[in-house]
Amino acid sequence: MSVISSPINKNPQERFILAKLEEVTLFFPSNLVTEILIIETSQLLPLPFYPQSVLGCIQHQGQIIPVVSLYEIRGSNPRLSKEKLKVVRLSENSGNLRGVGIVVDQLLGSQGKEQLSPELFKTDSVITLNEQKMCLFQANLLSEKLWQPQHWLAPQS
Amino acid sequence: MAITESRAEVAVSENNTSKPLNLLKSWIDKHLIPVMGGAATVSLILFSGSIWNTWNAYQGFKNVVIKQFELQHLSDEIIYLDEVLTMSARMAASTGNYYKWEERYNQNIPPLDQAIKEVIELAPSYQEDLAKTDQANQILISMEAQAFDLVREKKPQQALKLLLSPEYDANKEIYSQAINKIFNDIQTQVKETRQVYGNNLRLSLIFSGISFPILLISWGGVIWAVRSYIQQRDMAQRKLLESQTTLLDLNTELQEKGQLLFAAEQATRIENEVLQNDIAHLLDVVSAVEQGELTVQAEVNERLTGIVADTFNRLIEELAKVLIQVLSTAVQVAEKAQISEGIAQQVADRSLAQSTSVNQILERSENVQVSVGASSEQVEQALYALSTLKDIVNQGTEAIAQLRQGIEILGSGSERIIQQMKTLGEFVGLADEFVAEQSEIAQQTQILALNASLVAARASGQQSSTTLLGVAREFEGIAEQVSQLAGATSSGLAVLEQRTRQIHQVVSSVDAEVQNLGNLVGEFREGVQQSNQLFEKVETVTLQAMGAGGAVTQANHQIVEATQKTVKAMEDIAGLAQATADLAQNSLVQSEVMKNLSARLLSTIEFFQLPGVSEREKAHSLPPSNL
Repeated sequence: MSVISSPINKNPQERFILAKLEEVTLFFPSNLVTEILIIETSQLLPLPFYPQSVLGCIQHQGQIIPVVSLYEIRGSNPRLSKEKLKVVRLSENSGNLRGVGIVVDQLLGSQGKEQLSPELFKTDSVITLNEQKMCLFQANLLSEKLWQPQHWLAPQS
Repeated sequence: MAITESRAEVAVSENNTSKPLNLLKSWIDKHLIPVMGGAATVSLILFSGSIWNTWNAYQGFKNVVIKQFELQHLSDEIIYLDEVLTMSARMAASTGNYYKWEERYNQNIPPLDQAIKEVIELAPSYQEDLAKTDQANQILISMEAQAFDLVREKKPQQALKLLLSPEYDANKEIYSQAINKIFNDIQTQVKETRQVYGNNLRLSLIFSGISFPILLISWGGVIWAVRSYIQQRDMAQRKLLESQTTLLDLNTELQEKGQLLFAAEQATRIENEVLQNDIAHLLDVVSAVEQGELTVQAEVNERLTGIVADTFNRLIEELAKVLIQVLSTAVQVAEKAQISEGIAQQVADRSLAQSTSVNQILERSENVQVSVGASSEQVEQALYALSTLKDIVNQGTEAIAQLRQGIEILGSGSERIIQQMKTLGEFVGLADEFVAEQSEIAQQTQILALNASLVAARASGQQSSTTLLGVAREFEGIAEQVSQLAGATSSGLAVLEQRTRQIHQVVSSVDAEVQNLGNLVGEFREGVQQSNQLFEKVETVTLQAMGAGGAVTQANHQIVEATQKTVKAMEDIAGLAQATADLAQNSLVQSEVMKNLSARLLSTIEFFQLPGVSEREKAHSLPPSNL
């Protein structure tokens, strides 16, 4: 997908931030995104007892931002081989995920809703269009268990 | 002479003592009388000095010290007598018994006067003081006489009063002071005089102490010189006596020898006559030998001429023996010479055979020479071909050297190109880094743009001023980040420009190097063509050399055949030569024999000493003997 951004529309709810996560293109609604950050891996403060998807916390502009990776959700291992990470920080409209930072591989740009395929909005799973995988980001992509320390989890029978 | 010898012996015997002592002794010996006179004079002077000093001391002691002692005695007596007179007067005055005391008084007045007179005589220098004393004395005497008169007139109290009056005491004081002064002066003078004479005596003692060792040494030296002189004289006298006895003995010996000589002279005259007769006989024999008569014999007797005759007889015998030996040796030499002549004839025949063989060899050698000539021509051709080959090879070597040089240049150029390519690669790496940095900057810019769009979207939906203020701050932050990114981008572009310039430089230098290499390659191509031509020439020359080699080989075969024939002929010659050598050895043996014979003969002849032939010539003429 091209990185060309479409002109800013008057209706902000109709714009989407495009990001690449491996071969999947994620579409973040702009109302769910506060800002986009580039952080250094050394700034991450890992949190023990949390799943590997929770990479840790960073301090940004006086606020603590938990950083989450969607690799587990994708089924692959989280990679911290890069020195810098691109993080999409979610806004208050994200509900329980407000202030959380989602790690992505690449930022492609922004597009309006009219430029997107309607099939994208029909499902919350990954779809393939024109041999390209894409997925609409929603808050329910992250499980609630993600935020529970692991030793508190009830043993699975 | 004996005395001189004895003195010399004494001098030699005393040589063992110290040298200065010897010198002194010899000097004293030479000047004994002056030395003794000097010692006597010095002794006399010293003794005179001592005597004068002693006489001086004695005179001083006698004249002054005695006088002083006398003066002291008189002063004591004067004091005593004065007190006697005073006490007599006072006793007479106090007791009233003037007879006894006046008598005593009158008895002691004359001794007092006498004593005073004697003091005046002994010390006229004290006369003035004594005059004062005498005056006071006279006053005292008159007062005492007056006191006696008063005592006689039965007025002892007045007399006593007079004697105890201040006037009396004053005069008494004057008298006693004067006397005391005189006596003090006398004592002082005595002390001074004693000191003076003590010093004089000390000086005389020192003088004596100094003069005593001097006298001792001088007289000791004199005695020692005299004693040595006496010893030398005694020794000389002894030596004289000994030499005299020796002369007497010699004289008697000479007389005896004279008598013996006379007797010997007589005997000699007789013997002389006999000898003359013997010598005449010997002359007759010698003349006979001179004539060639070796059978004569001289008469032998006990005398010297008899010994000469005997020796001459032996000489004649030796001469006969030598001549006989010479004769026999000459016969042997003639026989050996005939044998040597036969051997020489054989050697000549053998040599003739050798010469014919050598002629044959010479013919064959000529053939060989012809073959060698042909072979040498072929060799020359081969040499010429090889020289040409050598020139070609040299040219090839030069071409190869040039090629090598070019290859080295090519190699160095390639290295430079490689280095520059590496530099270029580095620059490309730097460019990659730049691209990565720029892509990163682009991503950041994109992110900033997205953030700006998000903020703008939020701002468009906001109506509150506070929220708008927050949004504005977010825009401000984003703008700062954009400006930083722009600065980073411009600096990156500057770096890119610089690196692009460097890359241009490297590329241009690489281009130049490549052009140089291209020229070099062209030169290499030409060099290779030249090398090809040279190798073609080498091939043709090698073929020529091979042809010449074949011809040389053929010629060598011919030479080998001729050589073999020559070897055979040489072997024949060697056989002949061996035979000749045997004959020569035989001849040598014969020569050795003749040499021994001649040596024997010469050793026999050595008995005679010939005129005009030195020992060295004889030694040279004499061969080493093998006997």
